[in-house]
Amino acid sequence: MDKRTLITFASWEPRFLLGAKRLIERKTPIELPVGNVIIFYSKGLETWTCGTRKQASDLWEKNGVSVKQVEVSYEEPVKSWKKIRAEINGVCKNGARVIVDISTMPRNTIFTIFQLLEAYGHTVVSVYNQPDKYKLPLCEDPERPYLIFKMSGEFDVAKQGTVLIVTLGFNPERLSTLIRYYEPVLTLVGLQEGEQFENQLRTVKVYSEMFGAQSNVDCFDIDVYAEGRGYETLTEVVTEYKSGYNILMSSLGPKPSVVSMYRVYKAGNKDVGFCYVPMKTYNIKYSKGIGETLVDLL
Amino acid sequence: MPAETADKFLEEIIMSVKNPFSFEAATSLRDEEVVEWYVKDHNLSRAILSKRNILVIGNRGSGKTMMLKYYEIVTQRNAIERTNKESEGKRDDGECEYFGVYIPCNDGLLLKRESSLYEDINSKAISRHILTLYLLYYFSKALSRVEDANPHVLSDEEERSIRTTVGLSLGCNISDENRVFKSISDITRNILIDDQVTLNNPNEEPPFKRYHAFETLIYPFLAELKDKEAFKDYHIMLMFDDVQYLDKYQMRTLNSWISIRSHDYFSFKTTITRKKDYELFTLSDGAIMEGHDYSAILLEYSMHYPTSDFGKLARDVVKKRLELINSGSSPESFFPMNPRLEVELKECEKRVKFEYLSEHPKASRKQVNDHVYKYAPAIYFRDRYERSRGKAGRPPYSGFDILTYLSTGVIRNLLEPCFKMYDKVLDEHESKNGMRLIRHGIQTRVIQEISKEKWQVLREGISHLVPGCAKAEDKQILNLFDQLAILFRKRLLDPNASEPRANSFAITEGGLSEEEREHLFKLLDFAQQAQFLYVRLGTAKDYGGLEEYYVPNRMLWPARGLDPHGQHARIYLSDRVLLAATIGQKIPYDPKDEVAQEVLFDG
Repeated sequence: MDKRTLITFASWEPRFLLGAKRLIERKTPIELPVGNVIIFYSKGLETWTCGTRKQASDLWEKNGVSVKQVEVSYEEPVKSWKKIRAEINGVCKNGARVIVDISTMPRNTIFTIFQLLEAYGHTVVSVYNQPDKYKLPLCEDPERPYLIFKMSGEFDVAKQGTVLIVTLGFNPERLSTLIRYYEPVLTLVGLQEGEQFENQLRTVKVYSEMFGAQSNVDCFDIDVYAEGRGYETLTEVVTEYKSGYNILMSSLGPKPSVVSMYRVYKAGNKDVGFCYVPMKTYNIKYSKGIGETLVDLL
Repeated sequence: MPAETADKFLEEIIMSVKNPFSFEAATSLRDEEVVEWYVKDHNLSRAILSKRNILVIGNRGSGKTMMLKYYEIVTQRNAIERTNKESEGKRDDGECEYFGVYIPCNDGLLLKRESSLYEDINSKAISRHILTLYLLYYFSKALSRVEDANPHVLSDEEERSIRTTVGLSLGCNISDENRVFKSISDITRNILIDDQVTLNNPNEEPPFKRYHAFETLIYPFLAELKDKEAFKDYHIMLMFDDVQYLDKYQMRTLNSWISIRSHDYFSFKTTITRKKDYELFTLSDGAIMEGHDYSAILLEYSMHYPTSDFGKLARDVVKKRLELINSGSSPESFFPMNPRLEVELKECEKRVKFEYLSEHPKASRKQVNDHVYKYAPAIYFRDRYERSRGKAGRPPYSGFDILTYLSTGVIRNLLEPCFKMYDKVLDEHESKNGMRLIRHGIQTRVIQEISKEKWQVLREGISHLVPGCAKAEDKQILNLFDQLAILFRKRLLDPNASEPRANSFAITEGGLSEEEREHLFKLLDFAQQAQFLYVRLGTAKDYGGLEEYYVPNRMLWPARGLDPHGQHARIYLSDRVLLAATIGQKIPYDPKDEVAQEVLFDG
């Protein structure tokens, strides 16, 4: 039987391990079994993940799946990008089917992996396991933002400036940092609809307090948990501004917005640039348990 | 007219009045606004309109962009006027004219990092290539404005010659569907987009077959221009704004260009927020040197007197803004001082003068004036504190001079309170027939509001404003400013303090380890980036050399009842004491032990 490669990112969050169990037990809509696993993990947080990495590796190997752990360091972005490219190039054969578990993967890595996999002709399935509960904050202390390698857009010097389009999540400081750094003429903030994870209080209210009064910041509603992950909404927003402005996008909101943003990029919007705000401090007790699994074919 | 309708009518009129103290970014202003609002500083003007390479250093809000935009607009307008006259055969005096090209460095195109994915040699070539094309785009776009205004600025033959030369350099045909400079800017724009597509391709390596450089693209273009009748008498100013945004090799590329000194047809004017954010190496690992390759100008001022350079500039800026609303008032009469404050200050001056002369009957006039300058305001603050012990009792901060001091030498800091005061008057419908002044009560309220907001920002933390600053460091920065405020208050109220109003400080070595010292300076750096602290250069207490000293944003002081003037003096604090202050320990103060210095010549 055709087997798939799974690419995942090690975390101390329980859903990292619980997600692996779900895949092994075939409790997700993915029918084909996993043949090999690449676990990327972050240098600097390796002590936080060494236990879960070992447990996950044991679990997969017990089920006859080969596992490779690959260290990446966000203090060495060039080296890390090259490492990811080498892994994707080497381990996954051209045209293989690849599952990417984005649950605990940093968003810059997700974009890079999606792009590289597609560039090498792979079919990509994205898996996202929601946690059962969140405990804030996930992370603190934004660092200097940057454009994601090879997805940095095609800036047209003749356009009237930059429009920043983001989905907002539980770290509004990340948005402040982006606005200060890129100085967009307009920022459009996608606010997740619904009440899940105290969304109205943690995102919508915080947005109003921090950005509501700023004349060059506006918001729109989006539902990234719905089918399509809000792709149509994002496409509409991008289309409206693209002819006159350079567009920068950043996923700061619920994780599935990475999927819809990538789809926007893929659907003839490679001129859109993607930016990322790394964070300095992480919370070891960020989430509990595992919730619904969302599966998307890119 | 019924009252309700009249009120609405009045509101509409008031709403239609644009706030003259707007402090929007210069890039979002219309050309007319830039020309109307900009206040020329004659020394600066002489430096910019010169053939020298100039590096202008100034924080956000100090007016760097406004300055470059102004010189771009006026020099281009002059060029348009001149070429028009020349084409009518009216003028050709052969005098050198300046032509400015504004080049912003915070464009997303220059923030891309793909070049770093390649080996050093390719990485350098890519950065140089992109920056060269970027320069050519802005340069040709600026020239196309002249061409648009005067389509016959170049003969057909001259156009052909430029097309051929630039076409050869770029390796493509420059079509003659449009005028030459428009064609060049269009084609450069397209090449830049194509190159980004190539750079974004994850499979390509190395990316380009042909790399452009100043020597192979810009030089031939400049040579063509110099050869043309309409442009031969110009000096081209290539003005790069906010060069701290450039990546390592872009900076080095620009420095390599600056280091070319065998020309007088062009020069580079660059701006930067802080010198430490910019490295001076060239692509060939040489370095550019101040005085030799470029002259540096500080666009920040250690301002202690209304008659200082910044005092004059601040007055001119506000005067010009007031002229825009036909106020008919001078800055001093538009922002009057609370009369009680004025009277009480005068009384203190008299008292201090009398007491000093009683003790020193033979004192010279200068000695008396110096003593009064140093101590009279301090005594005012002390008296006020004594009188209002137990109550809020903050001084009624008001008057144009106070606003100038509160700005800490940064134009945007001057305009912000003026803007808010003007808005408040409009909100309260205080001025129905054109505004002549802002009442001192409103000034005091707005100053206090802004001052409290500043402390609130410090309390909430600057980590979300400054990349790299951690939440744990927020508290340390707040502690530091809090302890400085406590120290400055103690000194102000102490009759034995030698320089009671000093509110800037220099740092001495107190035996910290390298790691501890690094941490302290990192915190100071974050505070600078958030514009709570400014670094100035002044005469050192020893040997008359220069030293860096720190000036906290003076807008912090009204909320703490302190004197924003700051006196022409600074105190010396050890790094150990400052580090201890970051964890909330009091800064020790004993007038007998303290080193405070009156400084001369800081302006």
